[in-house]
Amino acid sequence: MCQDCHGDQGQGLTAEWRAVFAPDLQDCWASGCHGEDAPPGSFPIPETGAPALAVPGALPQFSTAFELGTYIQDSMPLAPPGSLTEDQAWELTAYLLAWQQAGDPAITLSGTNSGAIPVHSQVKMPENSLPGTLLLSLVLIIGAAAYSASSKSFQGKKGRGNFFHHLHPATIPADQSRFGYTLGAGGLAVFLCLVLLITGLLETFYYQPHPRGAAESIQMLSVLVPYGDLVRNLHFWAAQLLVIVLMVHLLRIILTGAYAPPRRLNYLIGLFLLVIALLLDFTGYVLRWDEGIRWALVVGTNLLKTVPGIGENLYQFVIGGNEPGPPTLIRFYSWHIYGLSVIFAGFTAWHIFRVRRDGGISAPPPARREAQTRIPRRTLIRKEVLAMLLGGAVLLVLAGLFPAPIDRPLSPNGNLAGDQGAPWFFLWIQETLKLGDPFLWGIAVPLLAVIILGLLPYIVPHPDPSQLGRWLPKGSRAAQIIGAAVIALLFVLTLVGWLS
Amino acid sequence: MTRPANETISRGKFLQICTKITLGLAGLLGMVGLVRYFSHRPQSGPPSTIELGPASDFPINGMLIRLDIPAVIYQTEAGFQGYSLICTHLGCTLEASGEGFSCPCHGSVFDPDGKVIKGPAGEDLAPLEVEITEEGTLLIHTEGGGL
Repeated sequence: MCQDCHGDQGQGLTAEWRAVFAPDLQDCWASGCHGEDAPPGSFPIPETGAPALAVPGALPQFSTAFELGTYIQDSMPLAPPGSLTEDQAWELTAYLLAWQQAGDPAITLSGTNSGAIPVHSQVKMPENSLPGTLLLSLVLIIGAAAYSASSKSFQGKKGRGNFFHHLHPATIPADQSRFGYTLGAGGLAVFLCLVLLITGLLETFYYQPHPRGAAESIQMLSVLVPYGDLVRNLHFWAAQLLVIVLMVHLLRIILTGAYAPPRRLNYLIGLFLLVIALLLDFTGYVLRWDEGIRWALVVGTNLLKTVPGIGENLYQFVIGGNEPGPPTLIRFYSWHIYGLSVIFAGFTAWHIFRVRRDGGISAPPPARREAQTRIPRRTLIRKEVLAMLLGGAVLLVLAGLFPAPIDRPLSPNGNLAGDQGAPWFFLWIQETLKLGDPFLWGIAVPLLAVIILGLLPYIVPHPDPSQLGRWLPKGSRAAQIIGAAVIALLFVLTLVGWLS
Repeated sequence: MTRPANETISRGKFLQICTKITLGLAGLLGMVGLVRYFSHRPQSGPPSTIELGPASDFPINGMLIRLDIPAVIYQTEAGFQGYSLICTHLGCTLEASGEGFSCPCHGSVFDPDGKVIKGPAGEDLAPLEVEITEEGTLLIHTEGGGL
């Protein structure tokens, strides 16, 4: 269309090119091409010439490059609006920012970082956080090696007890602390919770729990705040690993019969903690408030509506209105950092208290223990420090190599671009939901799975006491089969959801 | 534990010191990272220019108080003059009182030309740049606003 007059190189913008036209076509306005009554496919241009790149007062309407870029993509060029590719829109945005002497030329603008870039002021990019992270990891490794060697060779006086020693067991039976028996899962979970607590606290200093600003503030944390990407990635990966570690912990407890009396109550507390951890993961995931969470939020909250009788009230209680909006985000935020976290911390303390009150990590009854050897606190702490170091190293590598996901800020008018799946830890529910009635398959069946696991210590035979303290003790095959089957089913459904 | 006579500290003691040094160093690095983390300053608003209407409508020897800026603008024979109405003590917005301006927070008083009459404020009010465009519109320039 444009090429009819303007040529394939845009020659038509020069007077020389126009001179080759028929005389009555040489005037772009009188001929009608760009006049008041421009034909379809063309558009009027003021006779004073091409308009300014941005008229005065146009750019101040936008505060972030994301707003400007999406406006350009939706409304530009004049004919026809919306015909630019996404890359072209971002390139134009970058040009306008450079023209304004704002932004930073080193940044390649996209939907996932432009929310952090202001239109009117220059940004200062932080230096790469990788060298600092590596240096810290290196110093920690050397420190742990020195600690390990010194605590091994230390034979001097015991030293005065401190508050930490008060919280920590003095000695524990040696055969309770075998890694091959505990898999270190409980201790690792405590470590991950500490990482989550510290990084989560740091995140609250930058996160803005409001729909117009939540995703942007996360982009700011990831792009502009020094070490912000490290903090966020550590929080993300610790949360993902916590789910896996808790499942391993649960499987270990079932397959060693550790839930048997007197530990039945603690088993239920632990199961409750697993459910709360999943809810914490889900609420934290929603706080991204980007296109990636749209459908998980819609499906997850609509599922509540299907609960007979109280569904509608439950839905409104969770999202704070008749549809997801600003009150929803602030509710998820409050549940994530206060409600669920306080419950989780309280029950974790109770869980750990009960471990000691029930006689430590499960082991054979004292009468049946062959060797009554105990390991001193120093040895236990040494093991814990080394486990934490190893866990920390894995976390740092994950956080450094695989950044936590972030998508375009959630736009109020629904677009179908978002990720349509559940977060991975709820993929198993996504798969069961495909089977039929949403209440039955989305709420009743998952609840039933938790209830079956919770009833294991109460309805199926306990392992023979002489068998305790080892894997797959005789006498509780039924519990082992049921527990392993439920967890295997979760695993398979998750895998199916992952692959589809 | 026996140790060679030429050694002054034991192996265990040496390793303990190494542990303390490296862990202290790690703590220090962590603190530096923490300070860097908190060093980010989100963008401050751009300096803003506010239109005050046609300059010809402004009476000579007149005064305009705009609490939304907040500023006071005078026109004298010599031309336009503007002052910020932000108290130089701790930033409250001043109120017109008597001949001048007083601060509702801690009682500082300024005369109409921005001079401190009474503390605790120590500095005079900041003059603001007033400009008349070619079309005759009166503009006032302020720093980027907070809040």
